Amino acid sequence: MTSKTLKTRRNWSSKFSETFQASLQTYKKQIDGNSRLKLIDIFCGFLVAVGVIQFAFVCVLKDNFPFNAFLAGFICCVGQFVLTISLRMQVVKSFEGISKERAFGEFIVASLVLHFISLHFVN
Amino acid sequence: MIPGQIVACWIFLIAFVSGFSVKQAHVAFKGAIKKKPVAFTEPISPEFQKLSKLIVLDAIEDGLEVNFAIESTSLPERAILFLGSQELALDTHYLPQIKGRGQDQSYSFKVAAKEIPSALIYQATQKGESLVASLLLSSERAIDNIFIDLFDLKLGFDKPESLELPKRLGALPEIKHIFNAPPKTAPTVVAQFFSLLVATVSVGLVACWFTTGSVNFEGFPKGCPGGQFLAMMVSIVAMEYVFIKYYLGTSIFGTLWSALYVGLPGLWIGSKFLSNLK
Amino acid sequence: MKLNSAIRGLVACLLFVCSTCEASIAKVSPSSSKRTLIIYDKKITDLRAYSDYFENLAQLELDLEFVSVVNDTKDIELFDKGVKLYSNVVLFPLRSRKISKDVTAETLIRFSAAGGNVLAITSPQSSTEAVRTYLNELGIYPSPKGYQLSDHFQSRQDGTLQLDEKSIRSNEVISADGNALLYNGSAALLKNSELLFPVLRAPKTSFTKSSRDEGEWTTGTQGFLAAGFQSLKNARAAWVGSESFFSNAFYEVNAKAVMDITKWAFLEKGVIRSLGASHSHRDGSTYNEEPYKIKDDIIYTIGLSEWRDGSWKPFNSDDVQLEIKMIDPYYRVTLNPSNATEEVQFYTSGEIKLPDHHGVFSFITDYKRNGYSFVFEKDVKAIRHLANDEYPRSWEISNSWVYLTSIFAVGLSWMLFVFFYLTSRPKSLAMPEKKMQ
Repeated sequence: MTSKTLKTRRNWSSKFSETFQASLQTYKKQIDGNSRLKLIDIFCGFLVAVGVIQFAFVCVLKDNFPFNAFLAGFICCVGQFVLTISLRMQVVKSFEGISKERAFGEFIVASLVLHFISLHFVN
Repeated sequence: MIPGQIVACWIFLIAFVSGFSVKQAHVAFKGAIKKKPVAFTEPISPEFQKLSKLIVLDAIEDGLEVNFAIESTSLPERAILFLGSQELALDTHYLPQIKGRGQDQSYSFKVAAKEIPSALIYQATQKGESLVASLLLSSERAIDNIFIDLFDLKLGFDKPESLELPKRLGALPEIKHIFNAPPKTAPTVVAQFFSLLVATVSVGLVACWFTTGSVNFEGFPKGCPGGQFLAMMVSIVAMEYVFIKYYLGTSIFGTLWSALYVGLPGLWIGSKFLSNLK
Repeated sequence: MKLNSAIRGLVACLLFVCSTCEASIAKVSPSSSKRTLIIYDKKITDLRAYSDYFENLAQLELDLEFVSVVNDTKDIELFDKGVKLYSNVVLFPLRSRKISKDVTAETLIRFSAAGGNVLAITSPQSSTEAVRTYLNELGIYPSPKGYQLSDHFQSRQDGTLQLDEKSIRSNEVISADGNALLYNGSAALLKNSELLFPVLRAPKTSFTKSSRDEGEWTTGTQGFLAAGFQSLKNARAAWVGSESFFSNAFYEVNAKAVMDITKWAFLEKGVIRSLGASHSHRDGSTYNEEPYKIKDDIIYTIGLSEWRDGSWKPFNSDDVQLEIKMIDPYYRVTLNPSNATEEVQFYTSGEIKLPDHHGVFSFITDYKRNGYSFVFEKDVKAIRHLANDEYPRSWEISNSWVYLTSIFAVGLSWMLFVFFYLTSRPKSLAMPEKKMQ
């Protein structure tokens, strides 16, 4: 290996860690003391975990029967994740003309619809 | 054609004089490998016993000749060689080439293996049945007409051929429908394990919320908004309850009505509460 | 036990229905009209030599009409303005080139197609082109004029042969009784056809040859002496290559075989009919009460009876088949005899599980055997798919437990989330927003 490539590699990795550290700092600053954001992020993590477990289950079985039930369970997680991320975006910076409270109300209604569809689809 | 394929190795035999005095009866072979002719040691007569020795044709190009001579004074009107399968009850026949003048007429039946009908070839090569060659010598009003089995013919070559018998009415082969295999289900233990995993993660979620301090009840609404808040929470739980009832078998119409009864007041009180939060 | 009694109930019900509809038509012969035309040649056929045969024919209650081809005053017609005049035609050997001006080979074929039965008798002396062409159309190739069946191994002066039991190739037409038959005539080659079948075969040592020595028309078992043909519409044609086969001289020996062939040709023998096929759920409820869905268990039943000796009798066979078909057959099963009445033998499929494919299926019994009239029963029924509430619920399938738990976990944790979200105080929530503003 030439020193040049070593150098660039070191440069690259240090750059990456720098950027990563910076992002982490910003993120920590953002959620620091904001219990609602923490609540949202942990909830999102949970949804990802449940989705991964279901997918792992399908992989272990090598069979997606009953497919509708899998879709219902998986889409429930994904849908809830998407809705929660949308909520988070509006919590951090509310969209124009839509107050945070209204956003939360919409989040509740949308989530209820999602739950109904999931239960309907799982049969 | 290689000349001299027929080996001239005559074994002279004076046939038993009966209706037709058949002489020098023998089977000669035609083919790449030279084979000695096989003579019939017994006289050709109605009492003839079939040759105990199998006559074998080794290749599809081979052939054989059944030769004999008959005294001109007692020639048969019909001389026919039959070759057939007893199992199929099927035979084919050959007419002789008649040569010679004077005292003896020589009869020669030529059987080329490749010209044997395919059904017989199939029977002989694939089913292993020996074909029976029989000889018919007859005249009207003759006393001792001959119709005898001469020998068994084995076809020693392999001619993979499927026999297509002519179509006949009859029962067709049975068919049973093969069903798709029922879907496999995981052993209950595996399903239970993964369900438990999900439950554990859920508990972990709540634990995580509490340990990171995301949950504090500092903002618990008090007073009038508190009542609205509780009412909203109750309506949310009630909605979920309605959904579960639907899952357990309530009809869609019943569900719609109860969702309306729970949802509309819930929506009203919820929006009121949320607008109060500002 | 319950099921058993249900089946028994169903069968009893069927029997009742069948026997009631039976009663009215039980004694009616399958050949509806009995008008029979016998065409002969006065010059070569003396009808008195066949009096025994005609006497027996009269016992079949046939309405016989004799007409000779040399009769110039009356032209022979099989059709009147396109309508078939006779149900049966017997053709004795004719020496004239034509049958008549209006009756050609084409007319005979048209007659067959219209459901008419033909008994064609040829002899070494007959040479009518129309009859020969007609027979060739059926796949029968009788030897040319002058060819006579002989056998050097039978020393009879006049060329009459004795046919032993091995010669009888169709037990459905001639039931062998161990007696030899007498035959003096010609032989024919037969084409490979599903509808054509041999009735009498020439002995192995026999041959058909002309006195003019032109080689043999048939050698040994190649030759056939009588054959039967049945069209898909159950019109019959029988051919016999000997006139004397029917004559008084041989009648003592041949009577049974002669009448068997004639009865067969005139639909008085070897006629089977079905008493309707039916099918139902295994509990006896019909399709109309409860349409079939995939994987339902059904039972198929068909009753067959045979016209024998002047009445309908149960038809016994072990190769009646049912096909359940949607383009391709999904099932082809051989039916088992179940119960029989005096007239009908019933066959049942037992319980059959319908295929796991939905669509329009045909339930077919297509019974075609040489010597018997063809039976074709077809019923087309739709087999539906499972309705959406007929699938197993998710909690019954172990795989779904994981997905169900997930949905409930998400629902429950979401409710907690909403509760916690609204009760927690957003301490610094206002801060970044202020900054941004």
